Amino acid sequence: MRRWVLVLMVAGVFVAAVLFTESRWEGDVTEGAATPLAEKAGVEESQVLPWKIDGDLLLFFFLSGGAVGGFAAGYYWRTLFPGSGSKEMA
Amino acid sequence: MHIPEGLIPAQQAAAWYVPAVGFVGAGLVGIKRRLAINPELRPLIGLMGAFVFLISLIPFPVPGLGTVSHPCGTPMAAILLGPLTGTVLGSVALFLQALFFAHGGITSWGANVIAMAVGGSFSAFAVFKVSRRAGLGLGFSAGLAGLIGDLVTYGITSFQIALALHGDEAVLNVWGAAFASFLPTQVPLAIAEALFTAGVVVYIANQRAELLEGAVVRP
Repeated sequence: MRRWVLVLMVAGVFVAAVLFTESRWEGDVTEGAATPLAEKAGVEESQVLPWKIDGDLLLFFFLSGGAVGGFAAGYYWRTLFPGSGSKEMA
Repeated sequence: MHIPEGLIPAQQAAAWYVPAVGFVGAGLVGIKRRLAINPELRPLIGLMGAFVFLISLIPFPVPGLGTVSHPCGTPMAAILLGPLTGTVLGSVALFLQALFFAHGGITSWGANVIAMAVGGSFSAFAVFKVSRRAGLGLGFSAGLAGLIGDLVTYGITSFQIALALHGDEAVLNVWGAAFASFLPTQVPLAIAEALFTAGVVVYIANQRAELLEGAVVRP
């Protein structure tokens, strides 16, 4: 019980710190490092795939990927550790 | 580790593909052999595959900095299943992320595989083995391997970016600047990856030690 309270407290502090950080959160750190160098070199991102995924479609794929990946992780976890959940509940 | 499409010149992109395909091919052969000997590894490979995919896709925000980045997951897979298997799992994750999640690219897949899948797996595996041989604890060794594997991944990515985009400047100077720009965001994530890796490795070793017989957890 005490462990879960600690986890919730850490998670709460983390979420609050993220929410009160002023940023638009655009692009990851690789883009942040590469973009200025690419602009200086006159190179632009290109598109190879015949489709472009952005906006709400990207949100759809992230949620779907998270759900499928989470299901797979949970399925294999239960296969490997069949008693772990029920032991905690008991 | 998710270098976008088009930033690496075609020749360099092709050059990164050659070793990447070699490592992935060797990894696939290794997985087939190991499953023939020990089919019970299948769920562990499935679990690690799902973990690597999810961990390397989640854009993790760093409070105070306003930036996001990704942990790798490949160090943990390499510790539990070996570096070639970690390479295969990382390469599959990067392929799916390039296809459907606007992270990385098809032309830059080879470079990204070398950074996250090969670099993250092999460096973590080496650190883990050396730490265990030096008598360090299982959790500490796994955590250290997770930390180093994460930072090595971004060190290689910085080098790839510098090599592609250095212009008139020396590659090493640009590499240093690019890597330095990664560090404020990546160091907190590497610490988080270290804690997660240590937790999972210790848990699996405690709960199902027999799964790891002959594997790398007990050198």
